Amino acid sequence: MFQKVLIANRGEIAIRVMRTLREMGIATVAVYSDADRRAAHTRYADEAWHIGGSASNESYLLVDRILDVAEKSGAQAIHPGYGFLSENTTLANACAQRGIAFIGPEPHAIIEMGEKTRARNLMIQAGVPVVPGTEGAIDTAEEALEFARDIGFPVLIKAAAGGGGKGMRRVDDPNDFVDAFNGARREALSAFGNGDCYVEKWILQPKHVEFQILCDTHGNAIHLFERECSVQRRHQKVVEETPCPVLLPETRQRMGEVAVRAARAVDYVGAGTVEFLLDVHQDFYFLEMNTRLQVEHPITEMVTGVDLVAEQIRIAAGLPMSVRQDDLRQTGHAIEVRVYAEDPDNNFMPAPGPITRLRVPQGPGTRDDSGFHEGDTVSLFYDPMLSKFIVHGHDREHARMRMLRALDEYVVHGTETNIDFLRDCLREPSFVDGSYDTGVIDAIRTLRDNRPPIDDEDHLDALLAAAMAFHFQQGRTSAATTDPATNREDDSAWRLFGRRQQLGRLS
Amino acid sequence: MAQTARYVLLTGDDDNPTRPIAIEDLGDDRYAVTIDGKTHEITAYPTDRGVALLRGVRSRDVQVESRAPGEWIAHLPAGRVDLKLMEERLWRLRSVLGGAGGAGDDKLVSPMAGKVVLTSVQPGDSVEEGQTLVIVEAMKMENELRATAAGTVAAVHVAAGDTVEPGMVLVEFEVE
Repeated sequence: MFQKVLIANRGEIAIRVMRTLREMGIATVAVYSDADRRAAHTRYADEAWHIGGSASNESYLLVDRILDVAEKSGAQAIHPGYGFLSENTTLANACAQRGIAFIGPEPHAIIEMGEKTRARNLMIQAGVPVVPGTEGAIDTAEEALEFARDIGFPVLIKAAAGGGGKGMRRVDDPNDFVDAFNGARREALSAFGNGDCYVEKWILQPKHVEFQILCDTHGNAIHLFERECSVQRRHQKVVEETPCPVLLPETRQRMGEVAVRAARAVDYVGAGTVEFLLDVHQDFYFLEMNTRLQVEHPITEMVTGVDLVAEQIRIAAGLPMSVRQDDLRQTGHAIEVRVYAEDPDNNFMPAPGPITRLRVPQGPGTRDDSGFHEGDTVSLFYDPMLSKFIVHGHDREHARMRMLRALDEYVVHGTETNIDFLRDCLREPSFVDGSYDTGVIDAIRTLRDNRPPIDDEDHLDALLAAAMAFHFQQGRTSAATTDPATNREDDSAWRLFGRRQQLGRLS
Repeated sequence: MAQTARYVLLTGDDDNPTRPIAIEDLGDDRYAVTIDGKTHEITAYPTDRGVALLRGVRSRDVQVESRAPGEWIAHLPAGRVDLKLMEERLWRLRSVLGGAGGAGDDKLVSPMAGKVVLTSVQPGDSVEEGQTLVIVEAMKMENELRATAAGTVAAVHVAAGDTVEPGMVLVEFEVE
């Protein structure tokens, strides 16, 4: 087993990985950018090495610099987390050349699954069902439009090298198609350096259901059941749960078998996720395979009791995985929410800024995988996810109510967050009964826009609390600046600022 | 010794712009708070999430924060309440001096930091409400910034490739 592992990532996922490493008695090496000198992951690690500028292409994406740190620090393996270099063959290849273990799949699997059209063709060959779409990338918007008319609207435009919703557009109206196609190409080119896009049929009322798989170098390949990830905004997941509330046992078994078959088709090693669309008839279609740990992996850990990061590390060290298919059961129900610094009422725009106060929910059945501390600043350089917060309950409704309870305890001050939006999500009727699909975001929006007005008693609480908070603040500032002999205020800079602002005199 | 502090809640309603609030300190974290002539006897003290309130037996640890002087946000399970408060004597002073004008719908302001991908209008263009005016890329996602009202473009202050900061005015127009 390794004695020291480098984590080529930042924020919550770096901390998540380091937690398991510590539990395994393995020393941890963090890397950090200028902006992350004081970041949570930098201080959690045993060693922290500076690797460059704040922009990720000057730090977390620099393969050579990260490998140099691995060699200098004596790390025997690199865990890439998700994002950044996790699905980048350059790092995986370079690790192999330098004799450092890459905690992830082999480069050929990343290539075969990373290029979507290639993955799709491989899956067709392996007998895995896929969504109707173009065979490969389409060069011009006009050609793409013609194809889209053939398979029928709505269609989905996807970046061939895409992920995380970047370069993805749904188009309902043929008149919007050309603009959307060009926009997707631009976004893909900027995000991935590859603007290739293809077009596929949009499955109506689909659920996004994915299967966690694990494969080791001893020929073992298993699945750890599904995750339902249909709540997505801007094509990024916001709320995930397991088990999927509508999946029939026989469908689960079939999907699990197909997921393992998909992984075996590329001789996969490590942890991966096979994503499917599930329609109302329990038919399912392969979407893509993610050749890395997923953000939402904790819900699988909560219901199976398996530490997926520990299994990744065991597998990378050449050991057999510690679980067998027949040992696995889904126990209870788990829900994860992604807490973002963003404004849900302004198209979920990122809201970077300082976190002036942070209190995380506690109590039975809660888990917070966070990458921030109070006093940290949400930087515009990186993803604005503050935390993934997970609950486990004995059944779905128990988990749902537990999450609502926990969200009321969640305190983030200083920046906009989606916490209140997450509450709406958990109360949306189709979420409550489990029938929701990937269009649920619109229903949540509608629910949010039509919220009943806050009742008089709640409103009075708000007014009293704000008035008292203001009063305490005034008392604090004047206590520090009032001359008790005269009871006259000696105007501090802060008071002057506040007064001038209130008088409307600040330009 | 009971002291009374006087504040006003700014309602944003021109006909009835303020509601008076008087806070009398009764000692031991107890206060008599009079709003609109009605007095509430409460226990209140600062907590790590805002202010704890005990009103009769109704107990709430209310989440409140302030991001700008006088501006308060209460985050309740039922939703968010925004409140503007001011010392009463400052309000009187401001009434005498006259208030400042507010920003309207005549500007498109960048809500974020990022890079302009494209601008789709020029001065003199007429725009519809909801029309995309500027696309700003942040975190590798394109964000379409739209007109909040119909009007005519008066000025465009950015071009593709420009870096923008939150609050920067991107486009100005004359609202119809």
